[in-house]
Amino acid sequence: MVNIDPPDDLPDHHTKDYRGAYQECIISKKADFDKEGYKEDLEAFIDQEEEHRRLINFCIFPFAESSPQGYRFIRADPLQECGVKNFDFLLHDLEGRVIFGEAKASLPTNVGSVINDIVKQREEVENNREYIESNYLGKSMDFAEFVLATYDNHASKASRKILSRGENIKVWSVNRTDKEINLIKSLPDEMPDGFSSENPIEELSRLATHSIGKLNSELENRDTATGTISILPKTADVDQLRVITRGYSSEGRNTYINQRDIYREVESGARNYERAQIEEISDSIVDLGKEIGLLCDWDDAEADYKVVSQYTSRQGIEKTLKKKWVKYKIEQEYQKLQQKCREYAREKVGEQKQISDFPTLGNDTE
Amino acid sequence: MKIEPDDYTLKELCQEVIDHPEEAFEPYHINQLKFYFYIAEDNWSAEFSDRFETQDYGDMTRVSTKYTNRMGYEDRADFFIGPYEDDDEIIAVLTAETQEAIDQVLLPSLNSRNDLSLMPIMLEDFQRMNEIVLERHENVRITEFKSERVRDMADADIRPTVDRSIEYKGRDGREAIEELRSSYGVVPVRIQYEQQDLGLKIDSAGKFTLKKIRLANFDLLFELVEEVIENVLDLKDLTQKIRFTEEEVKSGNLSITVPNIEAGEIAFDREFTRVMAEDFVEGTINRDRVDFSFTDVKMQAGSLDFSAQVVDERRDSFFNISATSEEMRIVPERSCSFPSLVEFYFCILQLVDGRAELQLHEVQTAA
Repeated sequence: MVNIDPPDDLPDHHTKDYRGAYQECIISKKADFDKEGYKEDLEAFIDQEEEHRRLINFCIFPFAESSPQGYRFIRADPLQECGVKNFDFLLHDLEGRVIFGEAKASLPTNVGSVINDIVKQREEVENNREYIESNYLGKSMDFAEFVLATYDNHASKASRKILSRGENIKVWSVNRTDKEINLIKSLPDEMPDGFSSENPIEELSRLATHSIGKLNSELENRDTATGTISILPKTADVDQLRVITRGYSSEGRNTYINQRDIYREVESGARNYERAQIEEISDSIVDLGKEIGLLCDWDDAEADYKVVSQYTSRQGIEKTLKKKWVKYKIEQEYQKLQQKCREYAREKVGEQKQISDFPTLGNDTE
Repeated sequence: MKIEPDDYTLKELCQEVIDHPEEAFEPYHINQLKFYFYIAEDNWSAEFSDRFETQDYGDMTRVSTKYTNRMGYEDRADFFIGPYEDDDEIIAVLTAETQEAIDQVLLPSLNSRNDLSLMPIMLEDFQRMNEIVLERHENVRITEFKSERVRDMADADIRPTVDRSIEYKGRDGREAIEELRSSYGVVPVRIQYEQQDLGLKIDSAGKFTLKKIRLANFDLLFELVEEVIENVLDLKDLTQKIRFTEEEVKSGNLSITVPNIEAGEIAFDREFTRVMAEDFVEGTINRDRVDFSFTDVKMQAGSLDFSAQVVDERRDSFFNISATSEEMRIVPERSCSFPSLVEFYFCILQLVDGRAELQLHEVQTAA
């Protein structure tokens, strides 16, 4: 028997029908639910988020190792605190020239939707110009360029599509094997609509390359590497939980972490963020960690939270984290199914009520 | 060790042991002196946690603590620590303790410090050390040694692709080293010499054991150390430059923090492959005396795409590696300290490529 309580407003004599309908629903829903497939999707999602972070790192490393044409890496996820669609990174030459970059580790078949998003993000930069100037730059934003960065297997397609639309967005291509960045210019088969330039090739080249000529040559086969930023301020929750694998400590069989360790890890990726923002991100990580059962309060102990894992090694904690998150997401999916079946059962019993109650109602009136 | 309290340099302390061996070795069964050498940060000082008592012996410091031995009894272990010569860059530790006490007390307290790195001896330098001993003592016997397969240093007649390590005991060690080198392609990483007046064991992990307490033997030991010092100090200078710092820059009316990374790079002498990357991660995890964790490991199928976050667990020191088939870039994090990089590089030399070279990653500039 399915042990599920009917809603309060359902008369008691419908309990059995309600449970029957619920059971019928949940059995079929569970049978339809491809748990293994869903698990694989979640694991692929984790990989994809890691790749995204890696790509951002490949993009910003040259600007942390040196300052090509004066550009420095200033901030990850600019404008995220404003609650608008935002870019992944911001570079600034400290003279009012900026580059906003969006990293896409893989591109959907419909590249147009990605370009639309970047156009929207570009508009948000314009809408928030004053905010950016007073909070990030300290001076007026004289000149902004926008970049779509992707891995080399997608770069040509992206460039061709962008240029076919006549968009002023540069494409950076990262080669994962050689660990190099290149600026990509792939001319489209057709000229963009309404493109009436006298010298279209030159015009397309202008769109595809940075205005500072030397920056283009600095981005030619430019060596790069991961590791500049380990925790992104705004990213998929599961990737943010890395804070725990980075910041935890172990003593004997005990693994634990303190609020200040979490704060420190978040802060290292959220450079130039306000304290309140870092605290907010840290709190959300703790909440999620508890929700998935990776963290729990550690009363009468010297640390704030216990890290719940069979393992004490860092590789082990990393494994536990992913496993618990996947389990949690599957559990959430089951809860959604249960909720749907509750609604279904309520509706079904409701219908029965109308039909079955009708003659009774008639009898009563007689 | 019982040494009359006074002001000593390392060599004066050794002289004191030579002059009064009965006193110095009184509490021990065997009269053996073990030396460990470390590379030290410039502002190094002989400070230890509260667990240890320290006593000033001039340049040298006597450090001692209680520990529980394997029989369950409480015992005392002590060692002397101080600069090898005038400057503080190379630190010598000497002790007459048992290996058990050394492993339990001495090594853990030293090998987790951010200001000290065990002085690794490159295998080529180690072979030169062996030559020096054999030149100085023509009739010396090698009675024990350990050799490992190092592809870049020896050809093997027998199954050359197999990784192997051979420990040998026997009075014909001197011949056996050469025979095993040519047949199995193994080169010595630890050697014990014996002669009437000489008893010496050298280990490429930076450990030297003197079994006969005579001035000439001390001199020989220091001569061997001299042989490697230059390489070791170069390595120290280099690893200290590989750093992550944050810089405050002015931008209009704002003060902004920007990262400033000096990255390192290990240039391989032969192609670095995916299989080597896997073996390296596995091999490093199982290695004695180092404790590196690899997380966030990305290893794509097909051509080599390898990157990872590395943590030196003993020092809580973080850095990141990204490899191509030709080189491995090292991006340090805020907590990265030079001993972690020295030890990591040493693992690469031993496990991946004996001829790999550590250097700074050169920043490309616009043509």
